[in-house]
Formats: sequence, structure tokens, C-alpha cells
Amino acid sequence: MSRNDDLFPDDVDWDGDLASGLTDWEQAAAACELAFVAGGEAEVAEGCELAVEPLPAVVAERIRNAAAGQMERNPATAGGRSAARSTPVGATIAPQSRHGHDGSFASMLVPAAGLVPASRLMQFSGWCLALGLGLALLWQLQNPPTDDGLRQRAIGVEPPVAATPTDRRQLLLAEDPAALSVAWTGGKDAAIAAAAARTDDAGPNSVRSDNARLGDVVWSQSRQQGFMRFRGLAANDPTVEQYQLWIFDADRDEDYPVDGGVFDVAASDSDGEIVVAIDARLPVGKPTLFAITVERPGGVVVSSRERLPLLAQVP
Amino acid sequence: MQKLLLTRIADGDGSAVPDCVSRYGGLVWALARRRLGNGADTEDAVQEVFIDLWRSAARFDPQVAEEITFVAMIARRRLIDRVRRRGRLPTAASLDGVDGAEVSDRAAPVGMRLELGEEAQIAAEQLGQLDLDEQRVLRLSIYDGLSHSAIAEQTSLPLGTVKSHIRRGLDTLRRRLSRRTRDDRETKSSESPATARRVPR
Repeated sequence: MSRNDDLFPDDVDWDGDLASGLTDWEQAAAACELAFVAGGEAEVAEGCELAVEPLPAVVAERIRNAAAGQMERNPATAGGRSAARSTPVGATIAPQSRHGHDGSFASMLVPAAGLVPASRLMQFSGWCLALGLGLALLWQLQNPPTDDGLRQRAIGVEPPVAATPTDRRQLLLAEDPAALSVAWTGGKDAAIAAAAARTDDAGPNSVRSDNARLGDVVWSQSRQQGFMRFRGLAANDPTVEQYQLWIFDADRDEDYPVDGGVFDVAASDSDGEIVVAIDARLPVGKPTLFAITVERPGGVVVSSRERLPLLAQVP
Repeated sequence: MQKLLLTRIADGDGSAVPDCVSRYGGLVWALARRRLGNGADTEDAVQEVFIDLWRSAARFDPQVAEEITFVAMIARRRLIDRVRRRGRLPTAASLDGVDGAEVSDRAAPVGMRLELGEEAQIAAEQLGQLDLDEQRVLRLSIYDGLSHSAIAEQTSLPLGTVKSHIRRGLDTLRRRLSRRTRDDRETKSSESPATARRVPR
């Protein structure tokens, strides 16, 4: 028996439709569903309230932590302002177009003490303060005020000061000794061929897993946070294709790895080293493999895995 | 008047996030369990719904929909999407085959109470005005997530009848909700023209 395949109004492309706003039909369907969940007309009329079992504490905590994690990964994005391009060699996670990512989500990522568990807040606050002051000083030394800078200050907008992905990666490694660090292995894909050609003792289709060559992935299980470092990954045209990370999890069906976010490599970065923050959409129980695929702009929900330039197998 | 949670989130008030999880967590959990059953997948789905909710908060317009209805809409989208992605059937039956009334009755002693809002009341009234066949079809479609063809199979009604029951039932409700929204806007506009907000849909 097939379900939901022709259910009106559910036969719409949610992702495409999301950008255009919620429809009257969905509103009606949702109101109906609420009435049904409440048990029908009599129940609704009686108390106008719905009795529900609370969300399990562990799930609620996970969601709050995910929000806090997003804040840590995107400390400079707020109120729809463009995120600070973190570093001369830093890549940024591209907007998640398939989810209709916009300033609204960014605007909620303003660090708020109430969102961060107290223990983590205490742990991070000292580091963040020191790091922030250090970077502010560095920024001042390297970027004397320009006309633009002066104008920004005149209207009360401070130039963004943000920890780079490289700095945050170092911080993570320093603070979580248990964090995994796995070297990338090159696959058979043009995106990595240039780096492969530079290896000492291997051909372009067989790249040795050399941390110093291709980079690595760092993942903190306790913090559900990680960073990818790449060397020699080919630049991509974000209007044609994007890189996407997948995290295979021993606790999940291997057909459905966790989406780790899409990212771009700029032409100016392809010869150097870039560090990209991992944007895992779901909690990762036990990571077994990190894989980079090349996908259409915005990424995909299920990858065909046709192009797999890099893999990092967790030992 | 106290600001709505989604409005606060859209305005960048991070402290509204845990409040939102506390207020709507039970509702999303109940909706997810109905469609996906119990298990880790359901927990992931709930998280996905909330992440989508943060992202969509800026599109929430209290003059168009009530907050709870908006939450239910987002949850509905993501859960249907997830069912499709997994290529599996909704597992309402895995909740021991109980229907919605039994779920809420069972949950009541240990649960929390959530105000349903006017839109759900209008929907309930509307459902009460439908004949039994129409009610049943709408319930199977909206609540149980069955496809038109599956409903036709289960109810022995012609497929065209099933579709027209669903379309007519939802269309009537849709128009009632739109009318209410329009009336509210006119009232608010006449009371305080300066605070009227127009957000494109």
C-alpha cells in the first residue's frame, strides 16, 4: 500500500515550496491535524488544550546543544549580516539552498548564554575571551583603519572579529584530546587529481593517505564538532557543483550517512590549505567514515556517490 | 503583549530557543511518533523539525497563522519528507494501534498541556460539520497519512470521491481560516493602523 505518494496537498516539492512561503492548504491541513491529535471537536471545544507527552529530556537537550553548536560554528553570523570570511585560506560553508537558508536562521545564532549548557559556557568563556582579544589585536596590527573602517565605526558598526576555522580547529584539538584525527585518502576524481599528481610515490589514481598531502578530518565526538583540512582540492564553481561531506555512522543505516554540509573551494585556495567546519545535521553516534562527494549546488539528500574525491576511514 | 517565540527567534533572541523546545517539543514529538513510530529515527526527525523551525522563523507571520499551527505545518512537511526519504510507511500502527484520542488520553497524566489555538478549534468545528464519510476520509489523509488510493482501498469509496472529500474539506477550512485572518487584520488595522504588518506569503 503506497502512502503519501499522491496525498494532496503533500505532493509538493517542500524544499522548492519552502522559499515561496507556506500555503493556505498546508495551514488548513496542519490545523486539521492539530484537531485530530487533540481528539476531535469535543476535545478541542472542551479545553482548547492538547495533552501531550513531553519531549524526552535527552532529545530536548540534544536539540538545544545542536542550536548551541550552530552558534559555535557560526559565531560571526547575526541578523542576516554576511558572515565574516574567516581567513585568507579559509573556506566557508555555503548557504544551504535546499533548506531555504536565509538570514532568519543566522539571526538566531547570536551567542546567548541561556542556550549554552553552563559547563560548556564556563569551559569556553576563558578561551574565547583570550582568543577574541588576540585576534582583535592581530586584526588591528594587520589592518590599519581604512576609510571604510572609519566610516563603519562612525555609524557604530565594528569590523567583524571572528575566530578562523583554523584557529577553532586548533582549539578543538587542544581542548579535546580524544578528538579523532583521520587523514584523507584520495579517490578517483578530477577534483583531487592535482593533489594526487604531487604525491611522491603514487599515481594519480592511487594516492597514499598522507596527512601532509591531502589533509585530514578532525572530529570531537563529545562536542559533535569537527573540521576538515584540505590541501590541493580543486576549486569548484558553486553554480555548477559543490562539495558535500557525509559522515557514516555505525549507529545508522549505511545507506543514510549524516549530511555534513556543503562547501566550496575558491580558486585562490585550491593550491593552499583550507579548513572547513563540519556542519553535521544530525548527531553522530560512532563515526566510521568521512566521505566527500561532488554534488549539484546546494547538495543532495541522498548521494549517488558517483564522484568521491576524498575518504577518511576511521581506524 | 508578550512577543511570540518564533518572532523572538527571528529577531535573534537566542534565549527563545530553549523556550520553544519546551513549549512545542511535546507536540512535535507526538506528531513524529505518529508518523515514524518510536526509535532513534523519530528523535532525529524531531531535531530536524526544530532546525527547520529556526530557519523558517523569519517567515512566520502571526497575522497569517498562529504559532502552534506554523509549528505543526513545519513538522508536517519535514515528517512527510522524512517518510518519503526513508521510503518506508508511516508507522502509526506501531503506537500499539491506538488512535489520537487514546494517545492524548494516555499521555495526559504524565504529560503537559498545550493551548491549541483558535485555528485548531475552527478546524474541529469544521470537521464536526462534515458527514461521517468525509470526516473519515480527511482523518485517514491528514492524520494517518494515507494516500488517496490507499484511502479508497480502505473505505471502498471511489478514488474521485476520496479526492473530492479531501479537497472540499480542506478548501472550506482554508477559506474560513483566510477569512478569519482577513477579519483580524481589518480589526487590528482599524484599531492601530501604525502597527499593522503586511508580510508577503
